[in-house]
Amino acid sequence: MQRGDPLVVGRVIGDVVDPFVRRVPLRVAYAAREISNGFELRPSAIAEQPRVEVGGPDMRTFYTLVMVDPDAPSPSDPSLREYLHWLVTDIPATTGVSFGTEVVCYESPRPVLGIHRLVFLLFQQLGRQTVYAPGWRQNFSTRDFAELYNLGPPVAAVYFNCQRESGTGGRRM
Amino acid sequence: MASSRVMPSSSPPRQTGGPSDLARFRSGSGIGSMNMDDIIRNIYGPDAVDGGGPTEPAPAPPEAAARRTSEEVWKEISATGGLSAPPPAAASGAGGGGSGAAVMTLEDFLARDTGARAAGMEGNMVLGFPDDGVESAGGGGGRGRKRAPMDPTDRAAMQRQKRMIKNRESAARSRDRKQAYVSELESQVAQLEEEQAELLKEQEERNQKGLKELMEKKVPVIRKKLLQDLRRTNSMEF
Repeated sequence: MQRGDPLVVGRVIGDVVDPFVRRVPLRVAYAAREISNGFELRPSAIAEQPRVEVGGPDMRTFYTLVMVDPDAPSPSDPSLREYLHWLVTDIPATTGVSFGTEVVCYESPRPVLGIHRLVFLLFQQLGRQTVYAPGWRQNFSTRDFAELYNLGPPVAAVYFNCQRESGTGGRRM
Repeated sequence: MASSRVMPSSSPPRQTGGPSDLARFRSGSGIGSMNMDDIIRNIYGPDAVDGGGPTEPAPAPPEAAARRTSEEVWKEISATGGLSAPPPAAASGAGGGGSGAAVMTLEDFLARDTGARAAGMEGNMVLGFPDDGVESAGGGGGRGRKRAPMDPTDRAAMQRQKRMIKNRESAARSRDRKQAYVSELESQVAQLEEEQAELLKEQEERNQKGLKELMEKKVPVIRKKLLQDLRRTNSMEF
């Protein structure tokens, strides 16, 4: 196993966004359990929205957080890629998601088929901006969204895997 | 040569056959995602996708983009020549409109790409579309047939093939997942090792500093005390 960027190996870079440079610390934690790339959580663990802490230079910089599932409804046939689970904007640097504006509320992921990736992406805004919720959650395009609101490339990202509660797929290591 | 204006003449038959064709197509497999058109069709009825008509400008505003016909998308895609991967939104059974190399239609692309998978759609699409000059590979030969009457052995072979491809993809994803997890662990280990080395170094420095300070402070104190004691003994009166 050679060492590679987990975001590349896990195809998050590629399927959801293009290669970018991490600039800002991003910590996402479900009930005191911090997310690391590629770790697995079951739906019961992610039923409530996580705590999100964002780094950054000073509180005059604002960030947008996007949470998507690129493997909806099933990784082998992701016809609904990407499914938007959460969208929060105007998060001031050095604070958390509770200081931002929730444009699309957190929807608890409940995968049925296969093992899904759930990706958190952080974008830096040019300033405070109004963001309109899309008409529906499915077939969201993070790339198009970033372009539409001039967000540029992401400044941070983290993802984890999730399968249905009674699933048996996954690692046999 | 194919004209993109073929659309109006072929659209009426397509609309009636539309939803069932899509259902069949979707059950066949996923040629990537046939998302927008599909969803719009379901929500607004079979007319919505074609409602925009072929004359709608390509860079449409966000809401209207959803109603962009799949033919528009296909035109763009064949124009750019980027046909290496199945285009996500172009995969509904739209009428042809190839402006790219040769006289290729969406159905041809599908036929070429997936064998007889597209056979079910072709029957409803080609009225008014010239047959000559159009290449069709493999299972595309069945123009005008609603459902390809394949031999059971053929069908089984195709299904086995599909299953194998799906399984292969699933295995690849599984390997990627495992590798990503290991990479993450490796980077965490490296980070923790670094942190630990840093902390140990810091601790060592602090110890050294404390020791030095302690040594410096002890000696002057003792000396001073002795001098004071000496002075005191000398000051007695006789």
